[in-house]
Amino acid sequence: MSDLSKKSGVSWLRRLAEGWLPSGSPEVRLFLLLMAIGLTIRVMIMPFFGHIDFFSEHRRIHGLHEHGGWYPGSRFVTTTVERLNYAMVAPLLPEASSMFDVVDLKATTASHLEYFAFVRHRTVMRAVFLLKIPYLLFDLATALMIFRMFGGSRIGIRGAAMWLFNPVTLFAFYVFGRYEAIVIAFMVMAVWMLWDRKYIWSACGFGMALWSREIMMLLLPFFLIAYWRSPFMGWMKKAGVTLILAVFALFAANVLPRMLGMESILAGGDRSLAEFSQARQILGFQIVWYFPFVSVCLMLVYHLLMVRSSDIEGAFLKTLGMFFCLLFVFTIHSVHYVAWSMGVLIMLAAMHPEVAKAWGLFCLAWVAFWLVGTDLGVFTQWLAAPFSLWVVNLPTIPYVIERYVLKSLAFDWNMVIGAMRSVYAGALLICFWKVLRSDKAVDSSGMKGVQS
Amino acid sequence: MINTCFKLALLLVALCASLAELEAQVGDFPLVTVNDIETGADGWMRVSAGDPYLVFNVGNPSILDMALVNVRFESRDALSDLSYTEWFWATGSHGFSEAFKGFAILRTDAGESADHYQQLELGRFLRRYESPDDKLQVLRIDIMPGFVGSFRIKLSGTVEKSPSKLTDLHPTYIGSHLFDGKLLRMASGRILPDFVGRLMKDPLFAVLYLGSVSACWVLIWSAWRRWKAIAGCSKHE
Repeated sequence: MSDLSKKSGVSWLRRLAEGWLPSGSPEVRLFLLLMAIGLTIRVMIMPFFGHIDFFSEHRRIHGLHEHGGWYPGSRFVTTTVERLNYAMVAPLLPEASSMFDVVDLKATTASHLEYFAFVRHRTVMRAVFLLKIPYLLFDLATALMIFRMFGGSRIGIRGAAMWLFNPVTLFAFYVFGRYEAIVIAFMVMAVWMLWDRKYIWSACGFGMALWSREIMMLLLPFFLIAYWRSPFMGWMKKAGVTLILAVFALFAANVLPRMLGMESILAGGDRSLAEFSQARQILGFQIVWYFPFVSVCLMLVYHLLMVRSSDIEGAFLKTLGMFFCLLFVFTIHSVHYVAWSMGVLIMLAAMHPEVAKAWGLFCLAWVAFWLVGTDLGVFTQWLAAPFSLWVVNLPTIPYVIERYVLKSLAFDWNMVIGAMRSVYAGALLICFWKVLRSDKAVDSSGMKGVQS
Repeated sequence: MINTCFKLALLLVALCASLAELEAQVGDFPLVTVNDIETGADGWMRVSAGDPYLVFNVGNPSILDMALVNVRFESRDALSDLSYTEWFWATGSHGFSEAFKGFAILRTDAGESADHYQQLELGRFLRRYESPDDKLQVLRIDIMPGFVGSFRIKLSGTVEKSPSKLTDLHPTYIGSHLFDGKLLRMASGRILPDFVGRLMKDPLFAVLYLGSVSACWVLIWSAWRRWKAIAGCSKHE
């Protein structure tokens, strides 16, 4: 190679890529193959699905784009990423005005009738395809981070494969069509950086996750304890990461934007984005068994406080995994929320075969529960696609079970839903237990060896 | 394994056949309509574009927990422009009296005759989420403002005896024809033209989508070759 080419930008990029993913390594090549397959699956399904929430979200983004405003409150990061993407693809959306136009920007949550008007557009598939590009990028970046977190080893490949092919995130990002991919990518970055003891980067990553979705506030105590208890940074750095998180949290809770008078065109109204950005909304998360949940969270905090400080990274990861398991045991939640847990649980599952089995069971239980817990409408009916089961009139699984099985038995549908919810909760508790016991298999110090 | 699958398939067919017998026992029942919709001698109601919505009041709520709406279009084109939404008003133990329950997109195939109609089952959502005592009482259908033309609606309380294209896709039918390819042909007869139609209507999307998917397959092929090369080397070593 000539000196000229060595100095060129291409060569610099190649060296950077080689530093990150050395192409001679069999693990890297396998990872790239998995990424290519994962990318293909995603691209193939991207244009055909989108829940009504996807439409509502992009009406807001269209409004911001048209009116030139910014929204500095909670979900700023997701909104900004989506808006930047919207600005880039807008020339390719000729019907955007009629597709996304909304009279009152303070009430952007779409009705089903409006959703139908959206679906009727000739270029709806193009729009859905293009508007999901940020989700695809953050999703693939998460797979890369998980792979890198484990030093590009076999464990990293296992983790990346679990991420790329699990049904939960595929559904949440590409069928339901939510921006959770952005939130989770920042959360995974925060965990990875903490694992690598790059605390400032970790705090910035978690801050971005907070500013992407205010529900991440529930994880704030765990991150703070992990930072404070780490023996690998001094007091100055600890104060620094605390300050970083405090600033992000104040933005995410919409306190600073209000104090600074940064009102948005989306603010106000009963169902506006501003309402969702209130810190109180975090506790509006329907925690039905509130006191057991809080009690168990306190136990987890206690566990994290009491563990040996030299084991803090491993203990932190386990605690987050257990937290997510319990969150979904104790709460009524939407089908796609489960995606939040996937980053952390997959990291643990990649390291511990027993957790991997429990995680697989959890994914299966999730599919089974939502097959009966809701109509297939969640999967197929609210789609910007011609593949709605209503169109072909194929019977849905709940319909068949209800009409032909339950009719002859002494069950009603609510009993089936209740039973499947119990199975789902059981799978989560098994996952919780396996995560709790996971230090018996490969402990955090062992994993540090993998990294090196 | 193949034998087991074959036996299971036969069992499924037998089960479906017995269910078809059960189906025939469901009886007709009358429905009362409101909203001053003009009704023809054949029981079909003519609806013109611009009607904001239709309201059907079901006569005896203790009987009806499911209704079948047959929609027959007079126009062969512009049918994909029609969508409508169903609302059910129900009273019962749940304590609320208004609930959104479902909706559907209707469209016909090119060349379909005016005698054909599409059928929708309403009420299954109601039975899913509410108490078993709740019955469908009033059905409201909102017509999308973009609809051009007119159509007719008939409500009936049972599965139509006369076969239509979509009643043929009833589960019993699926069970009976699972293995002769007919179902696949019928399903593909609706899905593929729709998908291809959308691609034809939006050539830029066709280029974007097919180009991206093709590029992805090239990536897979390339990554596979690179991985296989190194895997082959390590095997020889």
